[in-house]
Amino acid sequence: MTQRLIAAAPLLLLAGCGFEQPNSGCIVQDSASWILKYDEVQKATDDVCVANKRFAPVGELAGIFKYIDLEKGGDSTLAIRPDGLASRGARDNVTNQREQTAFGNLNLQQDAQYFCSADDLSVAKVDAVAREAVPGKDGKPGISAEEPKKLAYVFTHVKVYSAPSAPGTQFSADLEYTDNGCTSTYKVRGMWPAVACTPGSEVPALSCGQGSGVNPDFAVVCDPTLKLCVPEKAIPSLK
Amino acid sequence: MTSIPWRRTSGAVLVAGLLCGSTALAQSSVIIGTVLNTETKQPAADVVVTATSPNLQGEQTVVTDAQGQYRIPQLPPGTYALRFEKESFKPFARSDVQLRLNRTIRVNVELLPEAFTEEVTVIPLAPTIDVGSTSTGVNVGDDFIRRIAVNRPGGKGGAARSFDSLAELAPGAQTDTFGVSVNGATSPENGYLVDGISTGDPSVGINASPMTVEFVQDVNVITGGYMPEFGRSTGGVITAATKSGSNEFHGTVFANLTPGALEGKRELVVSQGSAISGVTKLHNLGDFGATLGGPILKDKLWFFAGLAPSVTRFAHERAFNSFNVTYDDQGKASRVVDGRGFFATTPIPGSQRTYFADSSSVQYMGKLTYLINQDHNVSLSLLGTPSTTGGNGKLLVDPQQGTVILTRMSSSPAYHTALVQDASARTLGAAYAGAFMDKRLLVDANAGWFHQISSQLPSDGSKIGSDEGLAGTARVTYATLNKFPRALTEFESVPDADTYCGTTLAEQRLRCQVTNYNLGGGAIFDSKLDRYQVNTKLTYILNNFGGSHIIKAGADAEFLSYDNRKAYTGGVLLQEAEVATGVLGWTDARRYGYLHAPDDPQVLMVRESHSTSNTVGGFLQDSYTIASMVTINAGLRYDAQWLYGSDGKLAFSMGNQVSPRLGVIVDPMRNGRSKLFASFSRYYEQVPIRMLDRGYPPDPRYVANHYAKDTNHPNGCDPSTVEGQRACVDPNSHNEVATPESSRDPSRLYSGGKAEARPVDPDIKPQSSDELALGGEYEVMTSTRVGLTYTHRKMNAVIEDMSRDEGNTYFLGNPGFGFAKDFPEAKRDYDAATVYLTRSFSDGWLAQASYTWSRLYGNYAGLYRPETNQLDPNTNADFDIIPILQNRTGLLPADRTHAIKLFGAKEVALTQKLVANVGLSYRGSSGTPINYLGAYLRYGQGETFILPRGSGGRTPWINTIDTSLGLTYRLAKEQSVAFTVDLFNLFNFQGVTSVDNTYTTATVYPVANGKKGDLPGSVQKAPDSDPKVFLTDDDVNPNFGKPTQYQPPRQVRLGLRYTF
Repeated sequence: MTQRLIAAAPLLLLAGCGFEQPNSGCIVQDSASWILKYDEVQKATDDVCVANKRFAPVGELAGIFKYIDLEKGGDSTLAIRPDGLASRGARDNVTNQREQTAFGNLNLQQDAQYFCSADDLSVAKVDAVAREAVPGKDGKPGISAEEPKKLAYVFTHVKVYSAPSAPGTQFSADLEYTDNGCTSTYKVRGMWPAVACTPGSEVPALSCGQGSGVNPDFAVVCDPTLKLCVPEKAIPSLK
Repeated sequence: MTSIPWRRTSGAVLVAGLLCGSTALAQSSVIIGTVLNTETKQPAADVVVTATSPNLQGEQTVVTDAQGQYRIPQLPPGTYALRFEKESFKPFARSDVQLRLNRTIRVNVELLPEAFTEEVTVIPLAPTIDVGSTSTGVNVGDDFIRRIAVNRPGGKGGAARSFDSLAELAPGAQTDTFGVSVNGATSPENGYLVDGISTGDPSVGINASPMTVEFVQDVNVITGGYMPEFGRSTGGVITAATKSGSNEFHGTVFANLTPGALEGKRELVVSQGSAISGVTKLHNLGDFGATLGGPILKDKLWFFAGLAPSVTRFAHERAFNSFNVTYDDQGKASRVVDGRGFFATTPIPGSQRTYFADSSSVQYMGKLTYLINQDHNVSLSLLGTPSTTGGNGKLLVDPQQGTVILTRMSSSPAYHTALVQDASARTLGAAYAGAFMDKRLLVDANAGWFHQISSQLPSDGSKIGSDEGLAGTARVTYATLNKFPRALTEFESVPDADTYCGTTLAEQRLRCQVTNYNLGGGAIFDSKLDRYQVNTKLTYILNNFGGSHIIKAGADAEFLSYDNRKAYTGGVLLQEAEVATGVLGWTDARRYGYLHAPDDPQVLMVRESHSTSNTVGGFLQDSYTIASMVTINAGLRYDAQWLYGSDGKLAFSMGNQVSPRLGVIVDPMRNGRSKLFASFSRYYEQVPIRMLDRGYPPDPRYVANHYAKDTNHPNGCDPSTVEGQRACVDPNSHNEVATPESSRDPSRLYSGGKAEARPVDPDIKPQSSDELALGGEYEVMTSTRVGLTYTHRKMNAVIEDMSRDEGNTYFLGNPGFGFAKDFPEAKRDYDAATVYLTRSFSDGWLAQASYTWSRLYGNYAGLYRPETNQLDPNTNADFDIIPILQNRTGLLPADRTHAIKLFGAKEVALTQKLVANVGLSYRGSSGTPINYLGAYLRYGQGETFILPRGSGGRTPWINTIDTSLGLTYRLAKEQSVAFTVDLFNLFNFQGVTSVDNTYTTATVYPVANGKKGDLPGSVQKAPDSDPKVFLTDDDVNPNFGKPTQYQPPRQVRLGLRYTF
């Protein structure tokens, strides 16, 4: 009888103990080197738009940052600053530098698929004067001329993917891109870090494989135009 | 013996199941035995066995059962006298029975009937074999400490002569940077217990309370094979029982001095030449104090008190040198480089100045032991080991390593002497031991509060966060870039500067260049660590058909908390930096704070964090003895730990730590004089909580670059005054260097500003190791035993932080499992075979000899990295990124193939009152493996193993010979005066203990399955390129393989002691 009691004793100790690890929370990798791939949904059809190629690029680098206000109880802000706007900011004498960044409120409650959403993002825009052509020099390519550019980015359905294996390193959103009145819509798929690759290379470090710095769980391809590793599938783009 | 009906016991056993925990208790030694009638050789029942000892309050009495067996449990360690009495038998007394801490010894006795007339020889049996357990290790008491030179001066707790350094005496143990390494594990993995209360530092695991041996009755160094009563350590367990008082007043008054003047000549390490050099030597080290114990009520209430102040002083001689230069045809000067790759220098006469590094401690202890009755007693104890170092113009003696870790004072002397460190611990403990049902049911309970303070604060008394005094003065670092050199003459007065440094600023900056020169304060912190622990143990003795069972069950709980306040003096560390091409300015090297929004900073003058950890554990074990010959120990221990970060959120939990412990002991002759044993144990690590403070979440920091004050930037940064420093970092000064508008970072002036907790692999497993031990022991003659043991240990899962994307993101997990399955598993395999002989002090001499062959192989050293002495348990740089994990498996840094330890002491009575003692020690061990290391991108020096670990051979064999000479003069029956001289490293051997492992400072990849023939031409430089670039002879460090450390020199400790 004593033996039975002794056998029962360990069960008393094990009762009611949970050992699940906590979620990583809504982590966002603060960096100026996110790569955003823009997949066409609906391009502007007007002749002037097509003639002047007033569309979004195939993809571009962007800065994505998260700001926490500890005084306001940890309210979070998400900021997106695409290269298309930042690079033209110096030629913009109209808007404030801050307007080239989209700001929105980041919800810190993760959903079941590890997504953290940001809503009410401000419109990020630039109003740049024309750029003159700069000829090439010393073997370096020149810069072409550009018409005055009034660009606006409207990001909606912004989501950052933050799972323990990929903490805040993938991004998805819908983008409404307006270029001098020509509006097109895109699906945005982004990841961090932006890693250079050589299209067609067999070397893993040069083709987004081992040694490149890309998370080995990511499904990525080397984009031939950008020569950067971009997500292959919809976000989350995992193998 | 009649068996107790289970009805009456069930309640007690249920209670046993609900309570938990156990650790080493001060009253946990046991005397067992069998009494026979010498005429009939039959068991003698109902014999009254009485045990007395000066260390025991009152006396303990038990009666033998029908099999003639008796058991006296819950005894404090000491020397016992046993009396065996029964009507119609001649009484028998046996004295001088040595009972050590946590030991079970067997004293079998044969009684002569009163009417016996035949002559019979009763063979005196000398019981020293512990027949109750499979533990390996050594027990150290006063006998040994007084006769053999122990507690080497220098090293951790050196002046105080701390109890944990005695662990080094055990076979399979060796000193490491932070304490003693046991059976291949690192010192932070050991458990440290004083009177059952843990004194480990909750944040890093090393011993935080270096209590002096003067307060100690017995130290038990358990190296393996221990039962589930001891848990939560993957190294060894070092447990001490403090002294307790007695029925008479006894005490000691003592003083020891280790004069630096008697130190042997130190071999100096040849290292890189620099304008400021330094040499550290021991100046003086000593301790003195008194202890007193005695009765308040005889046999009822005893007290013990002790006070032991100690001081350490090192002398550091600082001197200036100038770099030798040669001039080429155009008159351009360049520095001379010698054959070792070092810059050649010339000392500047008259520049020597001596500074002192001071450390002092006042240890105290108070204890009360109260005997309620023969079956119940309680004790209450208070122990304190406060210590401070630095302050008043003194340098620091590092409390964790016990030495001056600064090799040279390369910055301003005021900077090096500006801080005071406090490393103090205080333990308050209460213990209860009770026996019920004729000592068949025993209850032991223990509660304690361990409080530790660790701080580094301005020595002018200014408070953390204050803007006055040093706390308000930022540290400013000049001369950070070779491109913008600075001369010593710009900061300090140099004798004969014209001759030795030159007349122009340019020449001075070449011949007397200083680098990373600091002025001001620096990082300060004030932390408090607390451990509240409670543990209880129930023991039930059950005799049934077939044998006797000793069933133990216990439960314990431990609550840790770590309160840390950190700051940078003045709120920032400023550092010279190239803020634009060719433009020298200032950068915030460190600043706590965060960004509300782009370029909207909020500084945190003080960063506060509060991390906690809760652990509960329990165990159940049965020691089943059959026919006094075979004992089977079977036990199971369970632990679970929950860790909470400084934001109060659960960081991660480590549950279901099930540790089985199995042991078999055979006493083939059934007389306590020999044993054979085998054991299997699993040990779990309790995660030290520094990683919570550092990573959950990490410190938020932001950085700005500032223009220096000049004509272009009148509001620029000029940190030469306190006002200037404040203006420098004030956003209203608008002196920040802005990134161009085209930057994709919305913040152009500030970077950083946020820190997120490290993700945890959802399938993370607790860290544990398994051990298999086999051995045998035999008592060859009185007090002397010989033995042979074999130990095998391996790691199961290990917890480390890792990155799968070249250091871009990190996570916490187990290498080789879960997220980290593409990492190699962490491996640390230890095999050791030891043959030993131990003779405890009797008949005027003692001896201890052991030889251990061992092999430590793997890719994981433990909770600190020996290559860099990085003490970041479970988050050091060992498994960080995959490319440099190649070649890391091999003989680990603590591997020493052979280790010989010989100790002997002989006491000689010169006259009736004068006794001399001579003790001699010899330690010899193989050297440690040498590696070929290179640098790696982002991680820096020593991170790439170019060839497999240990490919560079081994450092040489080290011999250490110590001797202890003592003269004791007896004044009266219990009063004596002793004078001792301990000579450490008698012949001043200056063996090489470590060599330069840096093969190259270039960033390189490991050579897969590399051999020496691949050096240097097959070693590829990093980063990868097309075509690949390889090392040349010019890239090889000429100092590779040369000594970087020698054995500590001969030191002499003089001691005087009055005992009454």
